Amino acid sequence: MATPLQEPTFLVLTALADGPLHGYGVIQEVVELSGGRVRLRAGTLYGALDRLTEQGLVAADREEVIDGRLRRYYRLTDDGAAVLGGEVQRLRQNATAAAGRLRRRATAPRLAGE
Amino acid sequence: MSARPRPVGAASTLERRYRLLLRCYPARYRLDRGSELIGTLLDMAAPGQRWPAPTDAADLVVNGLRRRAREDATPGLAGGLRIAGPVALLLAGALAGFLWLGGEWLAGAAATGPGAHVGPFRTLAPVAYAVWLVAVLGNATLPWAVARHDLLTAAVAATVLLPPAAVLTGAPRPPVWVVASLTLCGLAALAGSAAYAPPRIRRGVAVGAATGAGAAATVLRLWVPGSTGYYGPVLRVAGLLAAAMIGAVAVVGAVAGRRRMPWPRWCWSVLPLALPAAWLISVDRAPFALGRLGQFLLAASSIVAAMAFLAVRPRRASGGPRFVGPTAAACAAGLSGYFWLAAGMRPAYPAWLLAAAGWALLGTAWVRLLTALALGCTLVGGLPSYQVAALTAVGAVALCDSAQRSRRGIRFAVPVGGMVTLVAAVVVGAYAHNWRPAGWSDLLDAPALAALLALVPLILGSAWAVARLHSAQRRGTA
Repeated sequence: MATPLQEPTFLVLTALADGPLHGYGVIQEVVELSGGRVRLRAGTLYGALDRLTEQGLVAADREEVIDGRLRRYYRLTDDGAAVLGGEVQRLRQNATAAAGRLRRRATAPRLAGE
Repeated sequence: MSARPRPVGAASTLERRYRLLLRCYPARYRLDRGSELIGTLLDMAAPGQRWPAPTDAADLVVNGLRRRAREDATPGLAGGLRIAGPVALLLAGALAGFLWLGGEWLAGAAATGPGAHVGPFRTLAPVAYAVWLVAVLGNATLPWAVARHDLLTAAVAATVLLPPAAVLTGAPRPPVWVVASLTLCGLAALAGSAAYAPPRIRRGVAVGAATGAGAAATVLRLWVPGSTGYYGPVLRVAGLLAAAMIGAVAVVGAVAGRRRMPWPRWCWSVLPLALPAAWLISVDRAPFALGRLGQFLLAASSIVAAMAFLAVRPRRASGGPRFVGPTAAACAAGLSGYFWLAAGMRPAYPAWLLAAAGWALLGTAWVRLLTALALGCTLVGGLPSYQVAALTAVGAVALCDSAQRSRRGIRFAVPVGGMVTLVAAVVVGAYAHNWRPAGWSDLLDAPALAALLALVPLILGSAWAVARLHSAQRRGTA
């Protein structure tokens, strides 16, 4: 995928990287991964899961009924893992480049008045 | 599958409320994903929670409608609108530029006498034209999609507000066809996400609008005599401009995109543009001399019927639209009411009102009997010929589709449709008096023009007949 992933999409894919999760599990995992910053709403989550399923990055794994509630588990597909890997690589490169520039900035001599 | 115990108390109340919100999603989606979504929502809920959190509710409504827009879209609609949207904006920009120059500036300079113009212009319309030109320019240059979208919305709003502003200020306004065409172009541009098109397309729209306006102004200047009058000659050229635009889309779509563009998408790219084009083009020569109103109704109902035909999804296409008979019965009753008020009692008028009541209250056999009776009264009741023609044609459509009356909702639809027709006929009366009727008698003295409203159920009836033939053919070949 050429375009960078949106942060919620990135977090959903990351949440599923460890193993299959149901909807509520993904929401909890995303909260934890983002340090409480991103709280997905159910409608948004299922919109994202529908889109990712259509793109073949995520697939339905299994279903179970717990306390009368239907839970469908989702897993990351191989394509999804490849896209997530590519995004990690891209973010890492960006982060490395930014860190390098900041280091140089910190060590460069400053002109008077700057 | 294991049995699911029903939740009790707060949980069941909350579940019921969530299920209500889930109705924003398409039925098929609810069937597939509803239980799972409800399960997740209940997992997220706090203990004892009885009401959905406002943010959750808003999220479900937005995502449900988004899903509905995606899923319920007719094949080709989204792709067609993506083509029609920028072209509609181009047309709106070209019309705004050309009408400002040809219909306002030149005409305003030539107008004489008090009240003949607004400042240097002929009517209030340049306010809306200016917003359109800013919108087209902003759409080409602004980097923020939301701002571009808002500018288009502002242009549509400025156009729609022209008639009430003219009434309030007493200043002249542009012809209603100009307001209707520009509004429709704006709506098509918004629906086709013209504000979100790639920069190259958005810049092309601005250049195209300027070129179109310039070309139309040149045509007006060089080839159309008497181009300083109020809008008449200008509208003729505007009609040509719109026709050229839709022709270009149709030809380019049919030739260049033949391989890539399936026919529904091609139709959806042409039909939204066909409406403003058909409203602006003036066909006033015999034998097509229907007048502007007749042309408007004919074009609008034909194109809407074509859209309805396209929008009937394959799984529902077993016989076409099912509202034709009730619409025709309602139209006959509404027109009869208007004729009665306008020209006094004739036996055919109460007969049609009775037939409409039959649609609302009685069985199919009674409906057929009452409709046939009303048709008989119409044919032998000594009515003016245009009333005989309108009521007979509409009544025949109602009789042909009378078997559909058992459908739910018709009980209310026929009286409401009758009232809508009556109000529409009164509006036609206002139109006949240039929107400035002096009293009730003025509103009721245009029965011949009002009879043109019969075109609406007639066109719908034709579309229904075509759809039935189409589905019969499909069944025959299946």
